[in-house]
Amino acid sequence: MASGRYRLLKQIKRYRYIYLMILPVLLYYLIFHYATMYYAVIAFQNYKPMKGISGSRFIGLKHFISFLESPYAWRTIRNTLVLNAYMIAFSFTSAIIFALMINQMQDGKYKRVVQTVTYMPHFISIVVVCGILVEFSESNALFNDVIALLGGERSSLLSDPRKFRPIYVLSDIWQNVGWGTIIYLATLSGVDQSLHEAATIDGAGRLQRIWHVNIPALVPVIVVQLIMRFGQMMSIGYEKVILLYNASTYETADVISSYVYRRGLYEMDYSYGAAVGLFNSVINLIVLFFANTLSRRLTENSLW
Amino acid sequence: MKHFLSLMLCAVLVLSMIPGVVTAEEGAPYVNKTGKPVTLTVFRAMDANLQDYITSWNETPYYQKMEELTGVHIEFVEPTSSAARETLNMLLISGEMPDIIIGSNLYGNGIYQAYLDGYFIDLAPYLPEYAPEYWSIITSSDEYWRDAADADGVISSMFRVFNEPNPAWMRLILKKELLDKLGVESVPATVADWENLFGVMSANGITPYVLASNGYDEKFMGAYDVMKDFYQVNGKIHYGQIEEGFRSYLTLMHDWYEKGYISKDFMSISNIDTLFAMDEIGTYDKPVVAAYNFGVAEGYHVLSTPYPRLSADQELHWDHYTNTMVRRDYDNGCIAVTSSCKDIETAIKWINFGYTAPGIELNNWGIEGLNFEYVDGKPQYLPAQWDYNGISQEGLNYYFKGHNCATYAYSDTQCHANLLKSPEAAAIREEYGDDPLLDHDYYLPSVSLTEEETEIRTEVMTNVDTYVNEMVLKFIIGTESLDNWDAYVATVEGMGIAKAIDAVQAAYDRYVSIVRPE
Amino acid sequence: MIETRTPSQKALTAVNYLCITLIAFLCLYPMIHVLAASFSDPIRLIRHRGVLFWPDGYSLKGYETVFHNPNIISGYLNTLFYVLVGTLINMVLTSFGAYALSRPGWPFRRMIIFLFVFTMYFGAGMIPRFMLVKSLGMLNSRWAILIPTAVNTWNLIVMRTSFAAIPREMEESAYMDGASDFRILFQIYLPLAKATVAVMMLFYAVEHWNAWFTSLLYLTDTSKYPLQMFVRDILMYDGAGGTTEDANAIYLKELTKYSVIIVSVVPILCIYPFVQRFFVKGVMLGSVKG
Repeated sequence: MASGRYRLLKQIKRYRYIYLMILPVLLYYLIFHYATMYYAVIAFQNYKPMKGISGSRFIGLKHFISFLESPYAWRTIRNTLVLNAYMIAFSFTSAIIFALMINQMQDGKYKRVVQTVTYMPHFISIVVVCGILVEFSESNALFNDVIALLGGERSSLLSDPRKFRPIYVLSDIWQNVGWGTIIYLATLSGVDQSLHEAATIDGAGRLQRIWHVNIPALVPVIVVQLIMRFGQMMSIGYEKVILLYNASTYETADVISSYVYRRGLYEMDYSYGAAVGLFNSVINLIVLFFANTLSRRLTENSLW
Repeated sequence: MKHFLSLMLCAVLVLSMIPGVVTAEEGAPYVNKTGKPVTLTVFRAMDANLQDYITSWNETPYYQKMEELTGVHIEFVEPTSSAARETLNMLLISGEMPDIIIGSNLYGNGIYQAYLDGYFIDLAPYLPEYAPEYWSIITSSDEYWRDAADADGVISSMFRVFNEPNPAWMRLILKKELLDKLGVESVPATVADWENLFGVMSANGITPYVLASNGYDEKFMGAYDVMKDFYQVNGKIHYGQIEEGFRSYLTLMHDWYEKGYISKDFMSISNIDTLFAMDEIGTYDKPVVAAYNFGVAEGYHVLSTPYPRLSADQELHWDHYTNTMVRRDYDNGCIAVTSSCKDIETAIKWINFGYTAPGIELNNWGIEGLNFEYVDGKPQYLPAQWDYNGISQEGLNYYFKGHNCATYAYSDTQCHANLLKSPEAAAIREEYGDDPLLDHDYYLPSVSLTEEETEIRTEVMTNVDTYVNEMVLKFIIGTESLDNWDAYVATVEGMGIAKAIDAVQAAYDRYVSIVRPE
Repeated sequence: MIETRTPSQKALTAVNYLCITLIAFLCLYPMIHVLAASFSDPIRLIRHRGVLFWPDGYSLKGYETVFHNPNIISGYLNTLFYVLVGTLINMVLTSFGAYALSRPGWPFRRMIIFLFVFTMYFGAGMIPRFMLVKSLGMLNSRWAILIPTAVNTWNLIVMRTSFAAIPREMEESAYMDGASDFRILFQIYLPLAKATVAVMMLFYAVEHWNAWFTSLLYLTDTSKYPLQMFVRDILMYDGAGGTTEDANAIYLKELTKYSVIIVSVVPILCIYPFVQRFFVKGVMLGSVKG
């Protein structure tokens, strides 16, 4: 026992610089991630700032129950899940398809220009993107000019709950379709050329080669990306929601995180907001766990 | 050396006497008479009209003059107006509150609740001594006292008090040239008149009407005898959004929306003033003098309109412009002292300065010689009031004066710079002001709820408000059919609206029985 | 590669190029529109319908308004501060952490990795974080913008992977020469992982440049606001509340929006193409599971 402790001390001494380096990082994580969890106790209290955490009344699960009984629980959960499902179905896949398309291009200047141009929207801030969206969505503005040209009827796009998700997802595709290709293009450039040659000799056309060679090469990357995407789905994109939604679109736009912000920090209902936030995190963990297990069963790819 | 010392001694003696001497003189700092610098911290959101031009309230001549007159230096906490509420919340929760909150009505559950939660202090014990001017105003009648005090005689904020009623400042506006072009001779008086006018406008390719972005237009609601949220009829509290009259209002709005009379963009429209100027929209609810003056600058003539009625002889009871002289509805006109304030005496005296003669002059008129002068003993604005350093005109109101601040305020017709630009500008503000069939009988004054009542109201109303505000918009644009009105009312009732009405009723019953202190 | 040039293959290539060009155009167009609009005549801009490739009329009034706004100037300076200091803090901590984690063998390493990665998938949420920042006394302090985002776990993992790929012989010979871990990090690892370092710096810098929500939550003092907060104000709020009667203020509102967009995005859009050639390396490493 004593010698074990001695060995540990010796090890620690040997790696002292390593510990010196990891210390500030570890402190950062302990304080800004783990100490934060301590404050989650207010979710179980009737927290009054003037009384502090020790002086506030403990009320157990009351906020959780009152959230789950309110008409907004199901709606915000549904909106969070549906919006993410849309994002995965369209935004996530669009990058894969676009990568396959770019991969078919001849290397050269034009290809590089295309890449530079399509990366650009990724670097524009969410505030600006939403500002442009609001501006373009009015009934006499650009989007409606296009809709009218195609024979549609002009309307105020951002006040229609049915159009919120399409606008949200399309603008996300705009912002990230180019950026998302990077990882797939890199993977594709690593595909063994002999596979393509063999397929060509077997008489496979270009589309067949994409189907039988390129896509299988991408699958492991796609799966890992997808699971990670699931892991972050409950927290993703609420800043954009807060900037774009209004009372008339809450029905489809209000997600759990935006609801936490509105109730917790805008209306100063700290305990309630913290409870809903905690609920959100727990759901997130469950979704991630589920996705990971499913993926391990089906594709033998997983995060852990 | 001896000489020098005695000289020094003399100098010190003289200097030490100065504060005493100065107080006796006119023009001495009103609040801080110590001669030493005194600093207070004050929360005030930067005004949207000024934030493109200055970064701090201390850059305004108004606050510079105030510092000179009171002898108190102010350190401002000044978020942009769009972040005001978040910032105030943050200050309160952080426990490092400024001494004074301007805009205390931003607190989510109301000023009195902020006192109950321990953020604001009760000013009542201090006012007679430190704020005699304000105290004498609010104790001058039971009516004043009821609106200035909260339950149990607590005073959790000081307010802007008017010397006489203000004429209504928002009206549905029309453009004379457009009416002439359309061959319409008189401004509409009844809802039917409006509908006819909208029909004509619509036929001429003009979007007739931009409804308020939340879907509530108090003017058309008034014609159906309802008000938004809580109001009272003969002492009985109602919640407007579940009344039959509100259903009629929604039916009308939905009908107009379907016919294209209401702009499709009403929820998110920007550039509304420009669109009106370019004849693309027909009418909207707008500060009438601002619209008139803009029209003068652009070469067209803006018309004010009377409140819409169902029939020409209908009595209206919803007018809230004339109901009380103690106004709790001006953001800059509600000031509280926080429980972090160490120097309550100075803080209250500083606020009370707004109710003393020099403070009344500074707040209502500004700075003599800079933006106004006395002509035959009457104040008149100098051109600087409307044109100074490229700052926007509305910004200048806040730059030189305590525009909408807590003070003893002269009515807009007496000293509002926008109205005093021309006799016509003042006249349009007063037009239809003498409506004999109009009163404010339905108006619910600012009643104070107890802690339990507030808890009930908050619990019910956070859900109800979200639901109702959403449904109102859906009913209007038709994503929800008005056939579902009964189900909607049932849902609101299921959320416990009756409990909230009872809470407000109890508070109102207490309110009417309040009498001012001896 | 053997390429068969049948007509159908050629057609496929043509369609592919056409689609890609269209997508690239759609990615670019909104910024062209905004740029053209920002130089347009204010009134003609409001009247304008449809696409815009070239300014409709010409005016610099939007830019004049933006640059005369003292808040925009102070916001710009604040943003520069947050980007520079923030990225520095990020890079120091991230490379320390990445270096340590890339070295095998030291006790508690696995536990620490788990502690770090777990936070990617579980957090206490917005309100507890707010309470923490408050109780650290950081509300309304510039540190509240810099410190709570000091390490991005994702970037940490990427950097660790890139360090782990460096051949071990290099550092062993350095050890022999008596170099400390700090020297190995700064003199061997960082130069060798130049591509990753460049991308990480860009990622962090862009994050700081575009951040606004933390300012809304943690800052009470406008003089500490970053640029994005004022951009948000101009784009999202009809601030003046309809009481203004200035022709200037009313007509310029629209134009100013476009100008402020350009002013706020140009620096980033000028920088990223230079780092572009490193992107593949940077993003690729992140896809490897932690």
